[in-house]
Amino acid sequence: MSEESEVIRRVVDGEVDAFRVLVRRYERPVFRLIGNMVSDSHAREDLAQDVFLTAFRNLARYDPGRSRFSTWLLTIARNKCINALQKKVPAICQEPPDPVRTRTPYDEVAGRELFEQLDEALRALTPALKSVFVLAELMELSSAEIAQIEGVKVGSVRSRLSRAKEKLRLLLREYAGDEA
Amino acid sequence: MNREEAYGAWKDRRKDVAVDAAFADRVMRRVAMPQEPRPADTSQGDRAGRAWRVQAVAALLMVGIVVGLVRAGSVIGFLLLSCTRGY
Repeated sequence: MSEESEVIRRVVDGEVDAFRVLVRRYERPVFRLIGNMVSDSHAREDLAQDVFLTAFRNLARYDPGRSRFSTWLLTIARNKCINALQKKVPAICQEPPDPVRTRTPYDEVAGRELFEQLDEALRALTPALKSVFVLAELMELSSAEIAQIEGVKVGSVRSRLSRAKEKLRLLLREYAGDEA
Repeated sequence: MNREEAYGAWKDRRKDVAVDAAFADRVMRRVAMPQEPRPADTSQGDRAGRAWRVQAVAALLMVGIVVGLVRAGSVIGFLLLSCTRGY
């Protein structure tokens, strides 16, 4: 039995404190998914807490034979994000952190502008496209894992990803005068 | 910065999420709290009520049929006996 399965078994057997191990291990990927799906910072914290609370309450139903624990947890997170987006949680723009790898003042301004455009394009994607894009490009999950999370076939994942990328590519094409 | 570099930098920025050090504590506090009572599922109650009424009516009908059969049987028996005695 793996260390993670052992932790899960302890939690299911009533050792509530053992759940902290799972929260610590998966808080970053859960926040990465939620942070890129939902813009409201307050909603993000609440959603992340709800994800772990739901996982805790349903842990006995988790079947290791069907999926990895991370996939199961991210499925809960993805569903909560989609529900929140459908309830039209007010979308507040996530403040971008300091620009990364900038070289010249021109690049800095141009890069920041592009980042803002890409942020805007990501926000404008439909929940279904956004979810696949975030899972593939920002969480770097395999198509098979994404298909499991989304509850669709691998082919649908690829098609959604290509549509999402196409929308973002349109913005990039205008950047730097078709440099690349 | 060319297009690929810019896209890569943007992705790196989106991947970089800050998690509050006290987040796990907040989750564990909620986990330790007794579960809030769920809103009553009235539809289930309605269904249960309907099922109970249907069962009661069915039971009454069964009793009625049995009593009816017994009474009909006794009347027929009485008539048959009366006829037999008559002969």
